[in-house]
Amino acid sequence: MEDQRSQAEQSRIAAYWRENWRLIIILLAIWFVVSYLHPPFAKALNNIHILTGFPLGYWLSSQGAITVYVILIFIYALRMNRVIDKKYGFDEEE
Amino acid sequence: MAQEGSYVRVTRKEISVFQSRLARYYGAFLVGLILFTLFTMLLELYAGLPNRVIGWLFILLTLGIYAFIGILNFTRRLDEYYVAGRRVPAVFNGMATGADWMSAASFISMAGTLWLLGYDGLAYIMGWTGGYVLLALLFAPYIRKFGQFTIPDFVAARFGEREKLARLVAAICAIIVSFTYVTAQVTGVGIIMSRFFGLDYRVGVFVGLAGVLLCSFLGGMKSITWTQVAQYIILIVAYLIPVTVLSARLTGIPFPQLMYGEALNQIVQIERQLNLSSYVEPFKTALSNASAVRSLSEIGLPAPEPMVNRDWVGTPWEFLALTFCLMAGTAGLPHILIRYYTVPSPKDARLSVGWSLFFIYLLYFTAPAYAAFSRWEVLRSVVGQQIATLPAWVNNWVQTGLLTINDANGDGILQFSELQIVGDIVVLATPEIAGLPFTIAALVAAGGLAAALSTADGLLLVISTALSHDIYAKIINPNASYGRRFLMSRVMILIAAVLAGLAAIPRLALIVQMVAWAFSLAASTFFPVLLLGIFWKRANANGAIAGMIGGLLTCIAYMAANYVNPNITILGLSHLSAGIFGMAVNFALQVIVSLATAPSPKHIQDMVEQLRIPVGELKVAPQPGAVAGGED
Repeated sequence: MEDQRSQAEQSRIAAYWRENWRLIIILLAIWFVVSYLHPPFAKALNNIHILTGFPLGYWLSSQGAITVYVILIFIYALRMNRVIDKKYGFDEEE
Repeated sequence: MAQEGSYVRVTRKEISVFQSRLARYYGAFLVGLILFTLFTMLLELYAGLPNRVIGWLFILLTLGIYAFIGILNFTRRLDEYYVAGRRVPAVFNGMATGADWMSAASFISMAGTLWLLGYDGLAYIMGWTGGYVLLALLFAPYIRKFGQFTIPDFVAARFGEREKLARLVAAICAIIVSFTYVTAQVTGVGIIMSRFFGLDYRVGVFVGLAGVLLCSFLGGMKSITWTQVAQYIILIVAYLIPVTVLSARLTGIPFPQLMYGEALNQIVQIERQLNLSSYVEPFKTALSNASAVRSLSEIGLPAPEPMVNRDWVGTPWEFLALTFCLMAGTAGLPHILIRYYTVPSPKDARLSVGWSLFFIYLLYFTAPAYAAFSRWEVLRSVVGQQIATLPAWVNNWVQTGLLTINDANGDGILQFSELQIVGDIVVLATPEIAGLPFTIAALVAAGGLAAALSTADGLLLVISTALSHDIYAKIINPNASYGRRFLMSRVMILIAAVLAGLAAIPRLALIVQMVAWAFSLAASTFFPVLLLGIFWKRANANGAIAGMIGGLLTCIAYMAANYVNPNITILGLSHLSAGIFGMAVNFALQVIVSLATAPSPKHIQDMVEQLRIPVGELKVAPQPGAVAGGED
């Protein structure tokens, strides 16, 4: 009995951990793309102008990437706190 | 008396009551700050209040508020002293982290760095914000779940087979990283004090340190937290006002973050007419050892030949490497990590990182606007003008030495190459460029002071806890009484503050470099150890200790070599991104040494398992007799 319960508990934690990892990997992939893929092409991207006249390469590094960072963290926090934790019964105990 | 680890657990309801009370207090504080500024401005404009008095009003009022909050939060409880009682709501911890994080470098020097480096300076913008993504996804919730006091606490528990050695190495790393960084803050305090309040630089340093001690001495983390929230409010208001007015003046729309696109466009056009290299063009910063030459000769050591590495000329690879070093360093800085011990739960920790970055974002999103508008203004109404009829603000700043005009060809007209600026001027002179009264300039100085002091607070606490809690109470004298530990920690804050002051007095050119170095050092030591410690159960004490020592030494060696002689490079990287090598060595040593030696005992592996569960408190069961190498 004890063993079965603890085995169920173990697999619940393992499934939770896998789902956490999946979310982390997806968000880190986006983080990687917005941080590291555009700077090598900044010179070419600067020929495109957006909004009030920003050269695109400059804009991506100065505003684009950092805006995405803020959004990524809130997506992680809200999805973990409100969806994934609940799904696996790791709610607030109070 | 409250013992370590045991504390009153607060309920959700209590937190939300607490939070609304805090919102009322700080809301009132914000309104008060704005009213006070307006009132002083009226006095200045209509009653002729002298600048000196205005400067002193701002400095005394803000230091008075910090001292008041510090005294109000006097505490005799260890959990309050070290982790603010773990009841700081996520949003407020976000603001406190924002102030803790944004230093004199962010507030004063960031916009100037962008002015001077153009696109290449954006590595700092991305690096110093992108690190928070790593912090939120990989560290913060687990650090909070672990729930002790310091980062060496975590390292010691996770690598418990060699608890004392792991703790000692981690504590020394924390001290090295924090001390390089705190010296720069203290220098910033001295500069602001001397420039705006007419104090001697050295006196300024110690008046500023007295301000730091007032808040951290009595209430530790608890006072620091609530002071930092007030400091955040002051610094963000002070940062946003001048550039917003400047944007309205130059473009007609008071939204600098959006409107500086127009400024960039104008800059590019003017630069093309004048045949200058383009501000927005990437990768053109050359690497020289000028700073090393100056620093070494300042301390009287034989200085190397001045050299410039022209092959280097900022490659995309260096830009990416520097960005990554700054990110990993951000996630590994002990004074930021411990802020996530102070929230009520791992769930709050996740959210709190989001709020932290949001509050930091408000400033970082604006910094490039400062740089662009002032560059535009300089290109438009300073460069190409008669030197005799330059705008008034130019002459004011020439007197401070931050701006140098040298009519090399003697034609009476100022060419771009005849103008030299020190980066700090960009933020400091903007109120004047925008035609604002001195009151706003004093507010900016108070903001810069808030930024430097709040960061110094957090760093000094890390240094003092590493010495008093980790080295003294946990290693040297585990039976130290509770009162004695308190006494030690206060004595250590005092000693660390005095040492930081003394290190800042000679004003070495080295100091500016040290901020960037702190990130490479943190990236070479804590980042890999925390990452593998949390996510890889097989990592063991031998690996972690070897990794930290190897990473630290590699990083320092590469920095020193390339700093002195810029022609020594590996893969074309500069000393600023030495962390790449430190990190690589640290990860490699950790993996190899861990796999070559026995795994951590079972109770430690169980602890790693427990860290994954985002509710409840961690049950650490120290088992002194446990056999190493327990398998599941």
